[in-house]
Amino acid sequence: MRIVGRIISYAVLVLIGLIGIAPFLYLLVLSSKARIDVLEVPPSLDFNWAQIKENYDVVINEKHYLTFVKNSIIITGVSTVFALVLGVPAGYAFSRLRFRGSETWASTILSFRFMPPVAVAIPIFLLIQHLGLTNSHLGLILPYIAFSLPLVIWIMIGFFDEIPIEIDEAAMMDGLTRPQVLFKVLLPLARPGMVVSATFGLIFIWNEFLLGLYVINSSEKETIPIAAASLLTVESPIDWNIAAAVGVLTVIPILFFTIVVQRYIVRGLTAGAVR
Amino acid sequence: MASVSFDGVGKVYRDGTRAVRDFSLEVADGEFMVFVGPSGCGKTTALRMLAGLEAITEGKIRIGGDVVNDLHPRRRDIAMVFQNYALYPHMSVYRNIAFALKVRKTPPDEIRRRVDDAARILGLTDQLEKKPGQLSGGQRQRVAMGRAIVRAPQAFLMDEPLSNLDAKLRVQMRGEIGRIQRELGTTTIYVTHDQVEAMTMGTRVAVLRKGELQQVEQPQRLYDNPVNLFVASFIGSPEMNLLEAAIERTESGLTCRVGDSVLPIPAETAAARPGLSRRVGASVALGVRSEHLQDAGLREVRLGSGRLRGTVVATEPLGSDLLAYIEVGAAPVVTEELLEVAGDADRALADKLRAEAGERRTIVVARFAIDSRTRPGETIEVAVETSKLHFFDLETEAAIVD
Amino acid sequence: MPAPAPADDLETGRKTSHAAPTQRRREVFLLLGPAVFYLLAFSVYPLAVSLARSFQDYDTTANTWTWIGTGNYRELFTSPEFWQVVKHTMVLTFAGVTIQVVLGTALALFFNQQLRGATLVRGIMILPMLLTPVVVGLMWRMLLNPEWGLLNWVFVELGFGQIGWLTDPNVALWTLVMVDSWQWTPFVFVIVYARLQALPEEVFEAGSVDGANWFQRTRYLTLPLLVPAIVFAAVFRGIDAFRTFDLVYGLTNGGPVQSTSTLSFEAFQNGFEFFRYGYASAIAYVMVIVAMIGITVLFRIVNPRKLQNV
Repeated sequence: MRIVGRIISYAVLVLIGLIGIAPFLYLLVLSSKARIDVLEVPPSLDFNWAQIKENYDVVINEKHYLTFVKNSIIITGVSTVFALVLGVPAGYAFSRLRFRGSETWASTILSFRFMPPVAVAIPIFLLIQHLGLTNSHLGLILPYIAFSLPLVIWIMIGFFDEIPIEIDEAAMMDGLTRPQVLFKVLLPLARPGMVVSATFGLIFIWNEFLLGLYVINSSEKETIPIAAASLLTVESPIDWNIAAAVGVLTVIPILFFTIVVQRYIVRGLTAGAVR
Repeated sequence: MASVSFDGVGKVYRDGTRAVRDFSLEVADGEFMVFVGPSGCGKTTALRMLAGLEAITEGKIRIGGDVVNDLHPRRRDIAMVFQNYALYPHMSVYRNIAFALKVRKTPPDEIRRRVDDAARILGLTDQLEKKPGQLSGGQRQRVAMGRAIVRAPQAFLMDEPLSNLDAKLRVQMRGEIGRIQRELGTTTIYVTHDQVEAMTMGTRVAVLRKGELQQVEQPQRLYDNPVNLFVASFIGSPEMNLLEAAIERTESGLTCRVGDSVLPIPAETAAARPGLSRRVGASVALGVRSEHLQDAGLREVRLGSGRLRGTVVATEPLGSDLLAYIEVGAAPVVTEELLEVAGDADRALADKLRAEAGERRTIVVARFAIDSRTRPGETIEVAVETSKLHFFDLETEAAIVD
Repeated sequence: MPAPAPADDLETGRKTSHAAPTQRRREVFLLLGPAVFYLLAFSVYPLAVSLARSFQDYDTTANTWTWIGTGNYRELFTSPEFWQVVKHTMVLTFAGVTIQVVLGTALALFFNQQLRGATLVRGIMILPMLLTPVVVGLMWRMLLNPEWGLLNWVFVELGFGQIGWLTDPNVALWTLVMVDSWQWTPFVFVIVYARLQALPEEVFEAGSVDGANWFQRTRYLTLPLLVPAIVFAAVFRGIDAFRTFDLVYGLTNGGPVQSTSTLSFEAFQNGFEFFRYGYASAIAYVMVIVAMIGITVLFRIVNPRKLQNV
């Protein structure tokens, strides 16, 4: 009886894994096919290297995929870094300093995370337009920092809360001011928190494209999601196999990233539930 | 209510560590059996195997005559009180106690009746609607007891239930548990690391060490006739004094040389322990409890026939007795195992033992009558009750019998 | 300067610095100032502007704004399309979240056993949450393609007949729910599973000894103890599902026949494609109000300080 249970459990496990990864695998397979072969169902699994190379060639060269990668990396990287620069001290302040209304301030800031992006997209777009920053990296970086801030602050508050305040006090008794305490003493301790918030910030910014659609209108400056959105919209007549290749290339960076930071993602999501 | 038996029970974990070895024991119906030993001795593992919370790797366990090795805990009809109580945090006291009955689909009125009874016995009637988070440690402990007694199972299993309580509460609950058990007559297996608890509560006490059963006896017999050095030093407070002694034969019979002094061995003792005669000329471990050492200078007291010479290093008046710490010129018995027992209690003590062993001097603890006028710094003659001497083989550590 | 003496914070028992108020204020400004200023500029200001714009009308040709009072809102609340969109959003939010909570909890319970390879599968499960929604849309559009989609083919072969996944207006919304659940069930799973792992093992041992079988233990012990985590995940997910835009854009673009348009999408379309910025802002602001209600609920259930979640 127990053996039957075990077998069923393993079967379910495999099924879950398949459900999770099948869409991506399908994408992968289709991205290796010639245009007509896409119609073949179920798709055959003998791969033609030449075809694969050709498909990806189209994406990378004709569609300038690498430009998009470059844009994504720059925008995401810079935004995340500055979000940390602004957010970590703020998180620290909320964690350590109790001042009148600090709870309200904190709650308000955190609530921004839940605001519908549409609500701010248009005004921000108009602001960016007013500043003459449309179609530039900065035009996206500036708002993206604001988008990540609440999250970074939220996560950092939690991480700072875990560090005993005695450390701060010892440092201050040694003559450091609060900002110095943060930068010289606490930062190394808070590094896991910074990694977690950076991870979530990164993922969010990397995939963002609503605002991007407004702000960027030349394909030179598009980030990956924006480019994918333009290339893959429901109406556009792109070849499915090329589309699949675009999809794969969009997802590959995320895949690698996930493998590296998997631990941190789980840790970030679960820390709250565990309390 | 039923008997419980362990038959060659052993536990080996997947990584090879062995927790219990060849454990065999019979617990009679209605008996209060205590498993005692230092941490890591396997007592909790043995209990959990009985409960079904650990798989039994070797041997068989029987409850009421039936082998239970493959039975899920819920089928074994035993109740358990956990060290940390394991109360259901989201349920009221009432529902905590009632849970086991509810799970068996007992009718609600009967549940009500039985829970109220149990609550009354334990003094919890006013707490029934509260949740565990709102109770004190002592109250929580009693709820854990309530869960067990409401079921009338074949056996109670208790895993150090009192160790999280403060000292005063512990003493009080010791009596309560004993009283309840006698009233209900349920077979009980009680695990503790505290030998005082073991001695006061059990009908019989089983001493475990490193997964092996050392001795199982009624408390007094355990005290009077320890079967090896470990049991001798584990049971009893203050610890039994252990010294190296050499067995010699004189015209009047056997004697043992302890440092500079010579203690006569009474004829009955020698007769009961033929092994002593065979060890003439060899060294043995000599054990003597503190209450069997007396200030030889006292008049009104009956004194034993042996004499030890030593210097008083400290005294502790207890009101009823005087604890005297006396340095004698004899080597202490220090085995690795003794170091562990001491080390469990106090690292510094273990180091001191090792140092003393090198110097062939030992501090013995004697329980003098309060009239004694002895003071630190004085040399003193200590009267030894020679009929109460214990002898152990230095290598096997077993008590010398034959 | 002299070190401040720590004192107990009566509220939380934590020690906090009681340095001279001016010194503290300076510290606060220094540490918080930049972040707050930034948020004021890029979050508060836009929200305020949105509110203002929602009472205005935008003329594309003249590039002017005119105040029209509650005109946009009145149009909104009387327009049948708007209420359709609201309905769609509600379906996505409530049906979607319910499915995700039930499946997520079931998965958490399932993984609560020793299975080789479970860690790998759990890692795979996290992936959907991180993928660019546009690509998720593409994947599923391909899988469900009526002519050659693999999943569609499987369904037909199994005898379920052709289903107009993305072509039938009656089905499309549910397809959206399905894909959304595919993406976000793992979110619920991770949260509930973590809580499950943190529950004290002893409580379940006691349950076993008391005579409860697996079903009874799960029903009376596990699930009640998981409720806080489940509720948290549900409300969190609810607020996020309410705002769904990316997936709609990538999977259905609102169609067919606007049958999958959500509030966010509707606002976007009106703004980006029809250039009715005022009207779009009104829609967006309705969402803001609802979101604020949701946030209040969430923060009431759970003290935001104690969280480290996304």
